[in-house]
Amino acid sequence: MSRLRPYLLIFPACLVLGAFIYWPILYSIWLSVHRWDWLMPEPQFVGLQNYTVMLTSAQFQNSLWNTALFTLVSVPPTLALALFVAVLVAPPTRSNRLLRSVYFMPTVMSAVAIGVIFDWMMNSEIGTFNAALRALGVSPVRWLSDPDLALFSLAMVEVWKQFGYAVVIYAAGLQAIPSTLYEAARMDGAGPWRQFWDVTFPLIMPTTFFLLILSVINGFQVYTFVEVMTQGGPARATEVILYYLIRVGFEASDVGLGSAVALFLFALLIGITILKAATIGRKVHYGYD
Amino acid sequence: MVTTEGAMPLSEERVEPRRARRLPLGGFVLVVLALAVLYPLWEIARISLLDLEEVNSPDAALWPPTFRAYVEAWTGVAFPRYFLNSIVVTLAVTVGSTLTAILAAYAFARASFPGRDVLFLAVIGTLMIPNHITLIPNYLTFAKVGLLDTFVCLILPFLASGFSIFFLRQHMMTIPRSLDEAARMDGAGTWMILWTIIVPLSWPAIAVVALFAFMSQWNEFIWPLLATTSEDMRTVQIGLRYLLRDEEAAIPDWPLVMAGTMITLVPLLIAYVFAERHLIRGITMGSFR
Repeated sequence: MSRLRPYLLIFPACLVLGAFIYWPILYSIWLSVHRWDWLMPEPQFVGLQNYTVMLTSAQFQNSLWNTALFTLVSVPPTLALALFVAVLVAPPTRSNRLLRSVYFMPTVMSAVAIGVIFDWMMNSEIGTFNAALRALGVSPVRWLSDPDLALFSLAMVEVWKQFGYAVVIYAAGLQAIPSTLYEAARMDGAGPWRQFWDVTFPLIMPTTFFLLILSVINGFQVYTFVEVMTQGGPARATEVILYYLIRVGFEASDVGLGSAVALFLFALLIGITILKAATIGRKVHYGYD
Repeated sequence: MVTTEGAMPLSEERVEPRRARRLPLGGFVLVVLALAVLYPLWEIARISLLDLEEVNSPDAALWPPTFRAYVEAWTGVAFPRYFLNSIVVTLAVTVGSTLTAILAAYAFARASFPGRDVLFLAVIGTLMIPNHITLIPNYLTFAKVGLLDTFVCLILPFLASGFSIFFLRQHMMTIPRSLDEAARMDGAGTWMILWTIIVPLSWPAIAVVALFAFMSQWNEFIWPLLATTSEDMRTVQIGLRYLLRDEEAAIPDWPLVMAGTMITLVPLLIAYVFAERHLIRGITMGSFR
């Protein structure tokens, strides 16, 4: 290739990535130390004021807490359920393949569509969930309008959407565990439970760790379910950090504070990603080569 | 109960006797979970075929079905327009981002030029950067040049993808260089080699990245929600969100909402049925990078 040709080939892609991903990071940093809303003609330098306002804001703290709680109650059930299911559906039989594609389906569905259907099913008056409760003789609950319950309802939808992805990743990880280990364990008299806890569980740890990090990153960016189903309510009980960012930065037009929130979340997620990158390179040894 | 036989990479003929030994409880759980995934889809279809008055009664007869909601969705002004917008944006992004990725991946896989490794690292780095950091700056950028609420601002930021470039480059690296050299002997130039050798041999990988681009763009929610202000520019996801929470109507027209959901899901479910295997391959490969 001639000397300039490679640069011409990568130019379109690099231009778009530079202009719409890298430049915004720098722009955000600049915005976060300025005060600016639509009414002001010129941004005004305010130093770290946006950050101190953010950190002392009760609404910000509330959104951070909600995000952490949402992640905490949605991720462990997703992974536990997925590992359990993956062990059962890992053998490549025809029925298992079918089951896996069914479980994976929600992963490709739009979060809006999922939000809509669960908004219907969790409707207090006519929804499916309460119809089922009534049929069982239990008094119905307000899934999305009870402040103590709404965030957990959203977490339930998150589990429904995400567990199929974890099943597929776990199934791929399980394929990599040598069958000789199970044979050896069986020879030593280990039953299915012992085999799971002494062979599968420790050897699948790297996959678990990978999924854990990825799910936490996803959980911290939850937005669409909140926007579609609860709009942060009732009484800000489901206002997550991204919802807060968009309310402050767009609806209230406080661009500086919004950028400070964006950078806070950015630093948090990049930190988690680096943690992942630092550990993922480690090879797992099965005790033989 | 968990059986660990599932964890082994079994060949087909060894699977058959094992399958019979799967504990009945495990099989029961798998079927229940599959139904839990499928039931919401059935609800979408069911509600969309009901009369408006029937929605409130739990035992509404599905037969004869009412197609009122679909007719209304398709003959109204709004939904066909949303659908058209989504098609335009999704196709433009799928074709555009795949094209920029082919060019860039070819240069990264085949050429050596000063700064290549740093630039490639920057491309992969975009995979770690959470999308929310770009929202406020990109909004301000498009506002400044007066292109908010246009196709340009819905399409342009997505015309390059770090994942597509990375995925295609990995694939192109596996194509033997001797093929390039043979073609070069026959007088083919860089451009010719790309289109007559590299691209035809990369079709499976190109299909995967195009599929990913199609699916994620069709489902894109936050950016079009923020960047569109007029009803005419809404994509189906935004249209659906406003169909559910119309400021004027107190209670959603559930059959209409579900018909809209169905229309929104159909292109994706079709893509999923035809390309599920590629999709899962891409996802497992992408996650173990």
